[in-house]
Amino acid sequence: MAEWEWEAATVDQLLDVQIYAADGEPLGKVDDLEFTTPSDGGAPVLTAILCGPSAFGPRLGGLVGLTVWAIGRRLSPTGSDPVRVPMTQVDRVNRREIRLRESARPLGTHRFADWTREHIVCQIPGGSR
Amino acid sequence: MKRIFAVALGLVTAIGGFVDIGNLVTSGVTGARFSMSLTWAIVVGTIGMTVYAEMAGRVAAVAGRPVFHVVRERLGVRFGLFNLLACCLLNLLTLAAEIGGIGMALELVSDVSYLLWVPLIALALWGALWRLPFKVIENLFGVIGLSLLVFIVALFWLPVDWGSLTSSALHPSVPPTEAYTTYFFYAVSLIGACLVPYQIIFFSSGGVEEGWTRSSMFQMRLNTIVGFPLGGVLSIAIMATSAVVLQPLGTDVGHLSQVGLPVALALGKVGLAFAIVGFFAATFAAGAEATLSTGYAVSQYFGWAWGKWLRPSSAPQFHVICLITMILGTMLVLTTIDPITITLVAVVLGAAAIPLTFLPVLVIANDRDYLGDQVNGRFANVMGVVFLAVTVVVSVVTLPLLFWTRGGA
Amino acid sequence: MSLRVIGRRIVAGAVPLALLVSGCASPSPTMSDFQTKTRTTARAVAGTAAVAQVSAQAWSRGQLTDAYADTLVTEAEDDVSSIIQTYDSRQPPTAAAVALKGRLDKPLQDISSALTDLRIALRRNDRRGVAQAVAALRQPLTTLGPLQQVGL
Repeated sequence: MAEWEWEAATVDQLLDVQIYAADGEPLGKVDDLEFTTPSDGGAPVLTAILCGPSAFGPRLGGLVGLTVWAIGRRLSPTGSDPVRVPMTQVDRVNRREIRLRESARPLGTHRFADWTREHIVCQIPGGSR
Repeated sequence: MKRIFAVALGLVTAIGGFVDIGNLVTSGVTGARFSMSLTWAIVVGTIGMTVYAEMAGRVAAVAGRPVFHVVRERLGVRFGLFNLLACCLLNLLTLAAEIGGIGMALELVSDVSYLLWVPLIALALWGALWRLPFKVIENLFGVIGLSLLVFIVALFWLPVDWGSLTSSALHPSVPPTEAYTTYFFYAVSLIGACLVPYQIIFFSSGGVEEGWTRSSMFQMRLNTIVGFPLGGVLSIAIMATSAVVLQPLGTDVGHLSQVGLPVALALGKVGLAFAIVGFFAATFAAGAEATLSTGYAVSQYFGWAWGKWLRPSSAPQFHVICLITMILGTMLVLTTIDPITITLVAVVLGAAAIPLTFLPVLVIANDRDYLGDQVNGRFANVMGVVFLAVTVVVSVVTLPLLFWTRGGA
Repeated sequence: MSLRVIGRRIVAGAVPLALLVSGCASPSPTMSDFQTKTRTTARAVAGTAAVAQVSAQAWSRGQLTDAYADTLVTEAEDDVSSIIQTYDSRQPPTAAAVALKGRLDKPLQDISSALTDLRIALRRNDRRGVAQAVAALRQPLTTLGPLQQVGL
């Protein structure tokens, strides 16, 4: 499980915190959180952090949020499911940043950057260096 | 020796980088219309810029957090997004104004309409952003921009009645031929020209780009506390040359060429060459900075990799945002809207938007989790709160003034 | 056609669009409004022409480059013609206003044509022509003097 270097007063303080890959590459912000109620009926537990337009849109609310969500749903290969990073993949959490484990890479956190690189930047002269 | 050189280079860049098309236009226009009676607005704007940039620079140096990181963390996802959109729109207006300014500078040399230069300028700016290292963009043009100091030299060459000039500056009053609303509209424009959102975003993100740490605090403070006020002095000098030469003629300044005319009258073609080179360098640097700032702001809001130190393929979204900004800004100039009008609108709306980004920086600058022992002292907080109050007042009156005076007509 | 002319054509095409958007010039309903309009027009034209005059003199003394002087004078010419166009679009509300407009029309036209002469002379590098055009500006500018105080 993740190592917490911070006593969060409420767990929603985790929202909008910067996420880094294991190698320090910035990946995005915490757009939403996933809680699961254990089968024994205890208090809900934080199980994952969620990223991407389908998590970000609903938080904006209103027509703007709906638009963002709808665009994300169309463009993302996973449809309306946001990128989900289980807490087991989180290495460290503090008030300023969340750092993921090396094994988190296949989860889809790099998807948008990879797409932009491949389809836009590399098409521009000098972009593929 | 090397260190002294680096420090001096930073300082020079700060002075040259302070002045852009906004300062050139507003100082020229107000000097011709109101003589020196709006000097106080430049002073207020410059002090504000110093206070804000010092705080944002400290947050960048100690916590490694540039402005839009802080904006989303402190203001939340929705208000943060509103902030981001406002900033992007302003940057776009500013970029269009700067491109127009570069075009006008080239027109003064070539006698070819600025509009025909615009596509070439856009390509040159894009090439610079895509290929040149950050240091070169920042320092080279900042240093060349210093040739605007020719305005100060010209002021001493002109037949100036120093007594009436200083008394006009020290005892501000609304000229009998002008309405109070117009006077305050131009006051806001001068404040906005000194205190531009893109410059703050660029300054703090640039600090992170250059790898500022606690040990960079001296350089950062020197740039803000000495460099920016010297930039303000330069703005005042431009206003003064305009007041000395153009006000007696009764001219309403509406072109960059008129702003440079006093220099020619004082120093002839040599002075003029310095002025034009200064116009070009200042607007070119500012155009690049406004574009980068948009990339910084968007990437920081969404948490993507950003920075000129990364190759385009390592920070793909950042570079694409910069490219889109450049294209939109160029299209805006090509609508043939007068660049001077765009400039005035950009600086005035910019003044109104300052509290949006200043508030979160002020909050973080008091947060020990981020800044440790470098949190705001009492003096910084008093200045910060007074400044916040001033900018809130400015942003409340801006839109009514803009419509009431029909853009200062 | 020089590149500058092409640029001016593009701008000229944009002006009617801007007028359309702003809902055309509004009528001046009262004499006092018309006086204010006359005053600001006289001031604006005088100030613009004065810059052209000073620029041409500076050019003659070798203080300005050809391109810079040309830009200044061309801009002044364009500005003056657009100011005159705006003024002419106002409907004088009374007979007195028509008379007032009559007093202003002559100097405005003189200045406008002197500026055109000045630009032509400048581009042909014709020193005598420039001097003549500058001299031709003097008289209408003097006439504009009192008109800048109308109704005050």
